[in-house]
Amino acid sequence: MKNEKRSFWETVKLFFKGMVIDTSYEVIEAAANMEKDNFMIVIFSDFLGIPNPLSYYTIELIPYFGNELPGWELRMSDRKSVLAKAMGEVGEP
Amino acid sequence: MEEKNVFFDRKFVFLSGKGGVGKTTTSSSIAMGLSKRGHKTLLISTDPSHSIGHIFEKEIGPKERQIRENLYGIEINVKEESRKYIDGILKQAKEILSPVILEEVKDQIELAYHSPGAEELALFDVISRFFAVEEKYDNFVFDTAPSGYTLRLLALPKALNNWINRLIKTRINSMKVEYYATRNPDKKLKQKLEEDPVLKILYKRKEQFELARKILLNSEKTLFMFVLNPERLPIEITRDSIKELEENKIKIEALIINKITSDSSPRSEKEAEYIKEIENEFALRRIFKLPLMPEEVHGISSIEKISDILFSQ
Ligand SMILES: Nc1ncnc2c1ncn2[C@@H]1O[C@H](COP(=O)(O)OP(=O)(O)O)[C@@H](O)[C@H]1O
Ligand SMILES: [Mg+2]
Repeated sequence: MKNEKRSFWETVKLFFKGMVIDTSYEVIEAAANMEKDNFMIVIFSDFLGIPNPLSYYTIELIPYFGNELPGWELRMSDRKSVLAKAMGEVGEP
Repeated sequence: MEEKNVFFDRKFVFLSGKGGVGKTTTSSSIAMGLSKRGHKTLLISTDPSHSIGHIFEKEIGPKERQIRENLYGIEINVKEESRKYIDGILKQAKEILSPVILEEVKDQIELAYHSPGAEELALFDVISRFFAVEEKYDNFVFDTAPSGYTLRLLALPKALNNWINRLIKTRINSMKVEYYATRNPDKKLKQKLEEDPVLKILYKRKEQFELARKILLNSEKTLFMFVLNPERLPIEITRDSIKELEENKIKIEALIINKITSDSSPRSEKEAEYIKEIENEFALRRIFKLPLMPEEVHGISSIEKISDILFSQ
């Protein structure tokens, strides 16, 4: 399948432009999860053993992501490589 | 030359220095001097031990209170403020999260309260609250200053700014993708973004960082002073602190040498040497000198005395 060669983001962008016909909602949903995962790594970095110097500020966001914690933890154990990528993108100060 | 006094045209005055050197005493005196010259001044104390309430013989507390004409005071306990912030988050978590998950994240929230940077960031929150209401007073005098760590974070434009901007971008992307993955969304994307509590929190922080940066790095608006006593060790500490801050674009423009004894005792002679050393080392900065008062500094009249000495230099 052509899709596999595209990054999630390319797929999503093409989807927005209405150019992908064979992309299912599941693919988009996976992309959505990935974006959220990146964000949640910053908030729950302590769970992964990464110290966050601004945890005093990021804990304010915990209530809004806590309910997604179980799914996130599952996905994270699946995709350790996501971690390196996300830290590169969001990172710490 | 009273008109040239460095305090008049600075909206925000911060005093640094180690505990006991006289920050609360001198900031009270600066605030008193400004108020006596017609400036509506707010004195902000974050020191729970030697309170400005004690100095002015008046109960002050965490709400702004008038001390005398043009002079107002507020005492803020940073630890208590921090506790309130944490309790607010816990309450919010309780409302949103299932009991099982709440158990899992509760500890993480509590832990952040005790984390190494927490006290400094809590102090920063307390201080930056006043930046948003700067039109309320002519001058704000703080008996403390943001920590070196906080100032460094603010001074590096890439640090906090990029961090918060990336978080915002990631959140928006995530909401966008989620939106398009929803078959029948109940609201427009724009409205969802506007109502998102996570983005609200992030934008609030972004605003706080930007405003603080604008004020703290602006030496026309803000004055950082160091208080020290004429002793060996404080000179070394002051030298290191000033160097560190100036590497981060924070200029310490003035020093106050406090508690100078002026009899002809050997102690006084030793002090004179240290004072010379300080004057040589920090020749480019404004240096104020204050005597060790014979009696305990307590009550409006003794603060007025110190204030008069400061404002006549
Ligand atoms: N110039 C001075 N003469 C006499 N006592 C002083 C003088 N400055 C400060 N003190 C006393 O020293 C103690 C510490 O002063 P304070 O202003 O509370 O220091 P800080 O706020 O830096 O901890 C207080 O008891 C205060 O009354
Ligand atoms: Mg004090």
